[in-house]
This record gives sequence, structure tokens and C-alpha cells, in this order.
Amino acid sequence: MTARLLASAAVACLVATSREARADDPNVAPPERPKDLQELSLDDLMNIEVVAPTKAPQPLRETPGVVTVITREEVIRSGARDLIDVLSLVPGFAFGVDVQNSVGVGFRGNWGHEGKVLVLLDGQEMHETLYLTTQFGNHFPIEQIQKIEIIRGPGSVVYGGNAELAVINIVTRGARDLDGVSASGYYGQQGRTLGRRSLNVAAGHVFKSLGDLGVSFAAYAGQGHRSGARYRDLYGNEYRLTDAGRLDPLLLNFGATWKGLSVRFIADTLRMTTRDAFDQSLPAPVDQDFFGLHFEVKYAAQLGEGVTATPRVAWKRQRPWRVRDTLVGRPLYYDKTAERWIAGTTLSWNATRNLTLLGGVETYHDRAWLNDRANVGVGLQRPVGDPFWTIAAFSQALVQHWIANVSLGARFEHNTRFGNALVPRAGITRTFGRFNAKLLFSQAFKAPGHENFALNPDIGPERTTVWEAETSYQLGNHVSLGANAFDITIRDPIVYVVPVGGTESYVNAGKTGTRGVEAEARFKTTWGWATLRYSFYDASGKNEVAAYAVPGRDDVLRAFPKHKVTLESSARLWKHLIVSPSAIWLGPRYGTLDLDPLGQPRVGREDPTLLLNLFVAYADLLVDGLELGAGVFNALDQRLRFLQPHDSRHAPLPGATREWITRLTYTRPFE
Amino acid sequence: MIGHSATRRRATVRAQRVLVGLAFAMAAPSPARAEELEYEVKAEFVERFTRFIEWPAASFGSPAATFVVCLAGQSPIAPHLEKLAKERAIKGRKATFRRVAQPKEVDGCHLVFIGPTEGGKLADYLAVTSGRPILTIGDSAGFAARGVLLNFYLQGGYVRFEVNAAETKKSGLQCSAKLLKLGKTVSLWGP
Repeated sequence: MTARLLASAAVACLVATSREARADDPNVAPPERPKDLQELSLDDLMNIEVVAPTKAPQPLRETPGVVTVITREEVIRSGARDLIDVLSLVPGFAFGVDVQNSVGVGFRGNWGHEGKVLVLLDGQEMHETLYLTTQFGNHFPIEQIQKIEIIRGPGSVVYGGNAELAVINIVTRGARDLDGVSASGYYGQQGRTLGRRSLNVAAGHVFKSLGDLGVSFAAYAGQGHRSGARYRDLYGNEYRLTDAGRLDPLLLNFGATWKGLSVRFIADTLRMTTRDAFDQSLPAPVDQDFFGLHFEVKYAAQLGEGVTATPRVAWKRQRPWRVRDTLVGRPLYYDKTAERWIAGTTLSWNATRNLTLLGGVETYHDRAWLNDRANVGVGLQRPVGDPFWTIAAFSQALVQHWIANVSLGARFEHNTRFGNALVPRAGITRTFGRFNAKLLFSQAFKAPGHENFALNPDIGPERTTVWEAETSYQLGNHVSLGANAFDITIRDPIVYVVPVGGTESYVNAGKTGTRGVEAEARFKTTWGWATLRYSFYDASGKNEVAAYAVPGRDDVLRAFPKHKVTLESSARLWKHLIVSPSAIWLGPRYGTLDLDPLGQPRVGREDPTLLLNLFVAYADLLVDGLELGAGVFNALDQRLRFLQPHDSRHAPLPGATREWITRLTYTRPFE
Repeated sequence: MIGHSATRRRATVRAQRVLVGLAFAMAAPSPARAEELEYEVKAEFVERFTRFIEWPAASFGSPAATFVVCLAGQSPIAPHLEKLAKERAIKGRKATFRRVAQPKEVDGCHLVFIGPTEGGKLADYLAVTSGRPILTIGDSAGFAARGVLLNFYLQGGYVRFEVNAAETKKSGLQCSAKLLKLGKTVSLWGP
């Protein structure tokens, strides 16, 4: 046992994860201080290395890539209700309904809900590892966000098998960002239905006297509903979603940093109700809960000149999709727990000023178990499989040259269930004055989850190849233009299938994918900004998966609009008055809308949807730090419905109707 | 019995993992030193900037008037700016250091370092400083694009700065060509 302990420690010492090695990471050992700073010229000062290589602002694991960063100011000014509002303004993202009142994310036309789009909250993987889903809608605390970094492209090389299409990294306010206390209340009303109400409190401080111990804590609790509209399943059963679509979040988030040591603890609960079930509605709503505990400890150490190691140990335990209903037959009964341990380290070596090398290993241990063995066979309470291990190694080289910057990387992963996966990544970036260009090639994969294995022991990973090109141009001091093109091919996609009267399952099915373009024009000045964005995808010749296909239309996939246009803006009209209008236009979408005369699901066209939103905030109301905001989302009261991206006979699930909102925030920094 | 021993073994493995993580907490140097150096260097940058910028004579009420260095909000640069003002002359004048908590308090400042905590009030600060000979310096992504004259960022572990040339020209400060050359023209995409 001692030998194993020493071996573990040795492995941990050799390599360190760079998952968190980004610009704002405080856990990096410092370079030496040069003498006589006062004597140095401005040019000399520019040659002093003040930050160790892994803390460099070019995130080694994310660059090059097509990246969108959403600042706290943009999030807060918009009055966003939840992450759906925020991501809907980002090119490529759209949302669809899965089953059981669960809404998931799609990206560039592809269904990403089950493990294709990785969501991180302060570095913690938020998806559950049974079905690999992340729940959207009144879930994540908007008021706590410091920024959101979005990699609009694969992240498998660095983040592993659930970052196949994109990575959404939510960073909340830490001790330094807060350095005080903050509290807010949010209320939204959709007609006669409560849209949402929530309370947020957060506090953070850096204790200089305790060696710069930084501590932050945040709590978020709320209640809400998916929609105030009526839901009608394909079989004609109809009811108001008010009680059948509850979304009640509770999230606690604790972080601490001290002398390179960093600790994070998150308790995440989303309690919801579902009556929609899979296809035919239940006679009454049932409670459905998602619980999750996340813990992480990491450390960064400088092992030698230019060599930095960051070991990390993380753990999460989740109890998702928990339904212990008492309806006749208990059709959705489900009570399982999944647990994941992650231990990893990365070694970063700043070999020369123009060459940075990274190498790392990560080990995952996944297991799941039934919490209630007595009810095996009831509803969805099936046995789960054995635990499995994943061992991964990755490397990446970044070369900065006057001709171009070049990035080469690869990840090898061995899973005791599905075997081996090797994915490479390469990128070239070049800047010509105000003009910038990138060419990127990535391969990615999606590792199956517990339920994928349990329902189909022969399931294998799906593999994706993505080509991306991006260009941007700075037009004067206030306007910038950018555009990117992509081509995604997913081979052996893991597809959810539910035969009529049969049991749900997963199969590797042919191939699918999309190609398209995204464009952005941004105007920004001292008093505000406006950003116009356009997304387009085309699936012609790409999709062979019948469950995703739209009959008679080869160019479009189910649920997600081929065209999306968004406008986000904010202006300070007066010293304390900020007005932030935004608009989202979703082009026509296709999905199962009703049954044909033979009783088979019929795919139809959902008309374009225009969502107009407005939020007005008044800062420093009566006292400094008090802000009152109010606004309206979906001002035109358009019919917004989430369509199902796969063929499982779920009718469109209504989204929020016109919602009047108000938010009161108080922030007080420590003296 | 077998199950019990398996549980113990799993518990031991968990303990190993936690211990390995915690063991690293004991050895490596403090990152606080890294931040210390970064902000010490940035404070030196601030002083060097003043050598390449000329303030209108009217900015100083009298020949004996001090050069007022202000810090808006919170930043780790605070002790270094305070020390700088206490120990060094700026533009041939005695310097003083002042903290400001509200935009209206920047009157009288010749230089305002705007801390990252002030992002939400930045427009308020700029409403006061814009078009006036007050050197605003930021340390947050996007500040220059929003109208701060100079804004620090890090590149490859080295301190770099952006210049908002249009706002600088509007301010009435005379900025040397060398400073404009060393800095990066403001970018809406960030550094």
C-alpha cells in the first residue's frame, strides 16, 4: 500500500493539469524579481517576465480556437434570466427538448445534450455521468457570473470525451472579484404564472494577514416554471405547464485559495416536475430531481526554471433524473447515483520564448449504483454496469514564429470499457496588422456514459472531425468584424432510440454533421455597444441518421434553425440609467409536431420566431451599490417552443411566454 | 467480509488521492510573490508613462502643485502606487497618492488607475475624465476599447499595454510617438 501511495505521489509530481492554467489562475509560481527596477527604461520593463508560462493569457489548452468571451457586464446588463438567454445570443447555440421536461443544448445544428457540449462551472464538469446530460433553464446562477468563456469548437484534446463540439466555461466571482458582499433578488412573471423568483448572496475577501488567503462563498436559491403556456402531447392530452414544469434551483459554491493551493466545493440541486414524460403525458406531474456534489483541490508548483506542474484531484457525486413517483406503474421511477474521481497533472515547459510544451496525464474512475435495489425493473430502474477507468495522456506544442503561430497537440485515451481513442489537433494563426486569420483542424470523440453501456454493451465512442477557419478585421477604433466557417463530421454517433412500446436504447448510427458559417459585427464605445451575429448551418450530404433527419429536407436537422440572427446592445442613456435591448430571430425549425392519419409522428415546420427583450437598470439608486432593474423578455409574446432533435415522439415543449422581470441588487465592497 | 475489505480498500485509495493533492500544498513557492512582482512592474510602467506624456500647464494650479496619483477601486497595485508617490517625484513635482471610491472624486487627479473592481462603474468614471487631461490607466480586458487611455494586459508572461489613441488625442494630453509605438492600438477583440 505504501508503495502504491508513493507511486501515486510520484505520478502526481511528474505532471500537472493545465485545465485551469489560464490568465486568472493564481496558482502559479513566480519568476525571479530583477534588481534595480527603478533604473529600467520602458523597453526594459517590457522584457521582464512577470508571470510564469502557464499563467500566460494565451490559454494553452484553448488556443488557437474560435472563442467567445462574455463578460459579467454583458451578462448583467442584459438582465438575462438564465443561461439559455445568454447562450441564445452566441453563434451556433440553440435549444431543444429531450424528454421529461429536460431542455438541452444544440450546437451548429447538432444535438449536443448528451455529452457533446461540456459545461464547466468554476472548472467542475456539470454534466451527470449516467446519460451525460446538462440541464438548462433556471439552473445556473446568472448574478454570480464573472465571465463565460466559450470554445466554439472541439475541446477533446484537453478536456476529454465530453467536449466534442464545444466547451462552456462559467467562471463565477472569486474572492478578488467580490472583495465585499453582494445580494440580489430576481422576479419574473409570465401572465398568471410565476416565471421565476430567486435570491442570491455572495461574499468574498482576501485576507492579507493570513498570507493572502482568498475565500468566497455564494448561494443561489429559487423557484420557477418552464412556461406559463399549455402543453399538448401528440396524443391530444393537454395541460398547463405551470405545475407540470417546475424548475427550482439551489446552488452553493465555496472557493478558497492560499499559497498556490486552491479548493472548490459546489452543491448543485435542480428540482423539477415532469408530466410530459417520454411521449404520452402522465396523469399528474411527478417530482424529478438532479443532485450533484463537486469537490476539487489543486496546486501549482514551479519545479524548475520555466517548468510548472499543477496536480489536481476532483470528485463529483450526482443523483440525476431521480424520480420516486407513486403513480400507477411508476413509469419514470429512477434512483441511481454516479460518482467520478479525477486525478491529473500537467507539466508545462517554457522551452524558449517562442516554444511552449505541455504534457499531461489524467485518470478518471467512474462508477454508478442503484440506490433502491428493491425496485429494480420498476420504471427505468435497471441495473447499471461495472465501474470503469479512463487513463488519458495529452501533449501540445505552441510555436510562436513571425510567419505564423502554430499549435500541434494530441490526446490518447484508454477506457477499460470502450478501448482506445486518439485525437489530434492542429492550428495556425496569423495576424496582419488589423487583420487576423486562423485555420484549425481538430478531431474529437464522445465517450459513452453508464446508461449508454447499460442499454447497449456494444456501444462505442463516436468520433468527430472538425475543420474551422476564422478571420477578423478591426475597422477603426469602434468597429470590428469577424467570420468563421466550419465543417463537422460525426462518425458512429451515439443515437437515442425508443422503439414503439419498447425500451430506450442507444446505437452507433452511420454518420452525421453540418457545415456552415458564423459572422459577427461589433460596435463598442464608451457609452455602450451593439453586436450583430449571424449563424448558418447546412446538413446536405452530411446526415445519415434517420432520427435526426427531416423528411424531404436533406439540408436541415431537427429542432435547430438553419439561420439565426441576434442583436445584443446596451447604452448608457444617462449617468445612472442603462438600457439594454436585444433580439433573437430563429429561422424555421422542423420537428415532430403531430401524428399523421396512421398515427405515426409527423415532422412539420415551426414558423420563425422573433424574440425581443429589453432590460433597463438604474444604478446607485438612493445609496451607492443599489441597482434596480426591470424589463421584459419575449415582449411580442411569440410562441417559443423547444422541438425534439431526435425521433422519440415528444411534442414541442413550450418555452417562456412574455415575461416581465425585475431585479434588485446590492453590492458593497469591503473597505 | 469481502465487501467490507473492498470498502476499506476504496476508502484507502480515496485517502491516497486526497493526500497526494494536499501534499503539494506544502512545498512550492507562494504565488503571492508572482502577483507582487507583476504589480511592482506595472507601477514602474505607470511612472515611465508619465515621462512620455505632457500635461497642460493649466492642469496644475501652481508651480508648487503636486502631481496627484489616484486609485479607483481595489487593485493589488495600491501599495506600489502609494510607495511610488511617496518616494519619487513625477514630472518634476512632488507626488501624492489618493484613493477614490466614486467617479466624482477624480477631480484633481492627474492620473487615475482604474482597478478591475470598477468595471461596472467604468462609464461613470469615463464620463468624468473623457476629454480632460487626466491619464486613465486600466488593468482589465476591454477597458481601452471602452475609453480608458492606457490598459495593461499580459502576453506570454510579459506586461504589455494598449493605447486608445482616439481618446488620448481627445484628452489634451501630449503623448509621445514612442509610447504610441510601444503600445498596441486598442482592439475591440481584446489583446
